Amino acid sequence: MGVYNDGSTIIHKSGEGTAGDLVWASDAAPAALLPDSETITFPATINFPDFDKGNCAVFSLNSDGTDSGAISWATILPGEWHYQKTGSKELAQTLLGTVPSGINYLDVSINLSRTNAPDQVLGNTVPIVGIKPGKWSDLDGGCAVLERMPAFLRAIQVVRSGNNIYLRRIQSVKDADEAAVTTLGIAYKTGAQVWSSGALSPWHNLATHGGDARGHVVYELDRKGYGGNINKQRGGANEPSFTDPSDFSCTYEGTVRFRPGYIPS
Amino acid sequence: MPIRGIPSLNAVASFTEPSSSGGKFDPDAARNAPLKDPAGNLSNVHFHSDFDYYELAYGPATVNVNHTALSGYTGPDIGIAQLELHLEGQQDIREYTLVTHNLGYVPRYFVAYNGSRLGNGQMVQNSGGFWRIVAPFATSSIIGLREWLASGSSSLAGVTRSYEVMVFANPSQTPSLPLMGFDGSDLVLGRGRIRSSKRYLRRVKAGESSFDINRDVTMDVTNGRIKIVSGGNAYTEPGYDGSFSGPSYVAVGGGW
Repeated sequence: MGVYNDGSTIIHKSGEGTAGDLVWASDAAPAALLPDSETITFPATINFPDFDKGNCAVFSLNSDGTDSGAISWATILPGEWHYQKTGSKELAQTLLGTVPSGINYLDVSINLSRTNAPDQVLGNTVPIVGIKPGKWSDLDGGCAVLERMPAFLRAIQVVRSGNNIYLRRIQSVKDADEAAVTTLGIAYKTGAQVWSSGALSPWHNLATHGGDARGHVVYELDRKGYGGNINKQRGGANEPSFTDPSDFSCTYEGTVRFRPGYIPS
Repeated sequence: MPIRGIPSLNAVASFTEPSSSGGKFDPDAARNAPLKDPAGNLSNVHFHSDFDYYELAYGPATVNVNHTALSGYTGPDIGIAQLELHLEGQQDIREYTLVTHNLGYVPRYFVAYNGSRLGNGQMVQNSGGFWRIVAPFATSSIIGLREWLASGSSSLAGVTRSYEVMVFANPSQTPSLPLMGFDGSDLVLGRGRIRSSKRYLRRVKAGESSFDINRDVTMDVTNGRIKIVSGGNAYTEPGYDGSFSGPSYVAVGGGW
């Protein structure tokens, strides 16, 4: 190896003298993690709450208007949850520890498993996408997505604020057009649904919502099949149930580990 | 700026003395504070054998992954007569081995994709709204890539993606080696924690490497969509409506 001063820079080459490849130089400084004693290992329990919920239903008449069927679903409504929100949308940050002054980056690793899964979305398990459960991942910028579906996304960030290190959670539900349009392919009928009996139009194969047309259809609540009676439209005597037992909250448990680092500017 | 080693501290460092108080080889002398407590005297430390300098165990190397297709799917009716509702598409989770390192412990690693560090949960294929999202992970034997993918009524095509990988060895010391000296033709420091024949992660000029050390968070989420900014390169999913500009960063590479 060769270490020499070229007049303005101290250079370490892999070969003899000035020969070989550059290993280090005073203007090509190495990145350094502080001593292992500065590593902080934090046993983490990370909870995400359920979403804001709504509902919708579809309703159908048979051809002569003497029978009907209906299905009701829970919907999740658009919204943003994170540490800067207030009220039910606030996801408080967790102080993981402190680091020495002067460091200028974090080396973050996580090893998490989902210990409480959200309910399935229309029969599909909500996937864990940004980690392998029970295995270590090194996180660029301390960030990882944990769950996502087309409608929503959950992520974490390990953030340095001064000398404090925080774990932050983000939960976000995509804005939606009418849920029935985006998910069911059926347009909502504008206005309140009042079935006047007999007339095939305008209620055949139409959908209603429970007060908020936005949202994503995620969970079947009830169904009233054909046969026996009519008035299965929302507000009818035989309407499907709108009681929502679904729960899309979830919990991850495991370890968040970070080590302070320093690389000269 | 001495380079000084003190056996009782089992450490050697290059540092700026914060004062001239005390003996040069007194581990408790104020002048040796950066040697004894580097974390508490970071601005005075130029090098310390207790630091971990990301010794390269593998790479940087490019690994091509042939991500396999996922067929389309049209499910049975889930509705009732005349409503004729059905679900389309399916999802799957698959894994690939990027590197077999066999170090016997879970090492640090960097994975880059498309010119910058790969985010955990980054999309590498978006075909008509059907996705392939990946996450690197490490075990004591491999660096792996886990993917979640979803198709619609038609299939998600297979694709080949190139990833760059570096794997870092944990520093270790051998008590019989000198605190600062030679082991054969190698200069060793910290009883072998640093060795001149090894390669270490270091600063490079922008554009010389796909790897960066980002100094703050690299991902933002709004509207159910993400934006990732790593090494100054932005990846923005359609629908993201935030204003995240990304962190400062230092371009780094794998020695020579």
